Amino acid sequence: MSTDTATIERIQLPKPRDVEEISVPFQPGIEDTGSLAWRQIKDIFSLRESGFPQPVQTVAEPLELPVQIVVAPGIVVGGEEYQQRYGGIDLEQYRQQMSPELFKAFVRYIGCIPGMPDLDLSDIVTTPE
Amino acid sequence: MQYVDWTPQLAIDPPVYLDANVLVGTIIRTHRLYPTCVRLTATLLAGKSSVLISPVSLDECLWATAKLAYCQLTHQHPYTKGWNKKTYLKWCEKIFASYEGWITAVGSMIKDWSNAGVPIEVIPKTDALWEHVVDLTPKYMQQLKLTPADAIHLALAQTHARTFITADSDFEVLRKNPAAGELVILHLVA
Repeated sequence: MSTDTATIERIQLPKPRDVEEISVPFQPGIEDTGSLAWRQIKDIFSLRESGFPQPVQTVAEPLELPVQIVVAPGIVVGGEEYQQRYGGIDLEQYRQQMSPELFKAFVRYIGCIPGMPDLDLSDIVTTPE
Repeated sequence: MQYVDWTPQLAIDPPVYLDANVLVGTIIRTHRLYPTCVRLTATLLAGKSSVLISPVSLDECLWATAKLAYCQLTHQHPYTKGWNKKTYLKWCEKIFASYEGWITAVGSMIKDWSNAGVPIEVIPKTDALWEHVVDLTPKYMQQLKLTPADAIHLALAQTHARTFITADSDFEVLRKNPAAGELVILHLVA
């Protein structure tokens, strides 16, 4: 009698340096992100629920290094903030036009408040009653 | 006076008086005028243009950032009614506890520019010029139907600057009915 066997491939995630492998308890119920990795995780869960014996899986801890970008000496912002504040600005052009001290003064405060796109600037600066 | 919509190709004749809305627009990164304000600011800084600031502008910037902080704390849109001096006094402590950096941003930005070599002056410069501002302000209020604050801005610009840069469309009245003087009013549009 032949029996079909399913092969579960180890999920290949980048293994960062100096990080030990650990067990990660996957929790069903997390919203599907549509990624390949998540589809593989869902497949594992569906097999487990069907009673198929599961080997213990270990994966390297996903290491999400926070992206830090140095805009000028001493001025460091995260990737998302960088995109919002400086993404549409030709910083290289201004870096060439300004002294290092002036460039630093220029980039330090521009866009430092998130705010909102539909503000009326004239209204917001009005002295309240 | 001349009223002109600003484009990056326009030469800016200093000294330049900056309206509060330009300074605030430079620090609010999601605002539709943010790229324009930043481009303009960069042009002024790179050209080491003489920049004029008034206590009126700083006062308005402080109110603006305090209101933004209040809205952030209370999850309200700035258009929501209810922001007044009483509200400010009630929320003052929490505003500074959470968003002091927002309140001080414009002032610190101006100091940074100055320390980096940008010629920045606070106006009015002299008693004589201040008297001129005092005389012009009610005239602008009457002739152009400007609010007192807007009329003071225009009078300060007229007496001290060659260019007045603003994002306030209330000065649009000057496009068709320019008042006397050599001042160029540059209007920022997205």
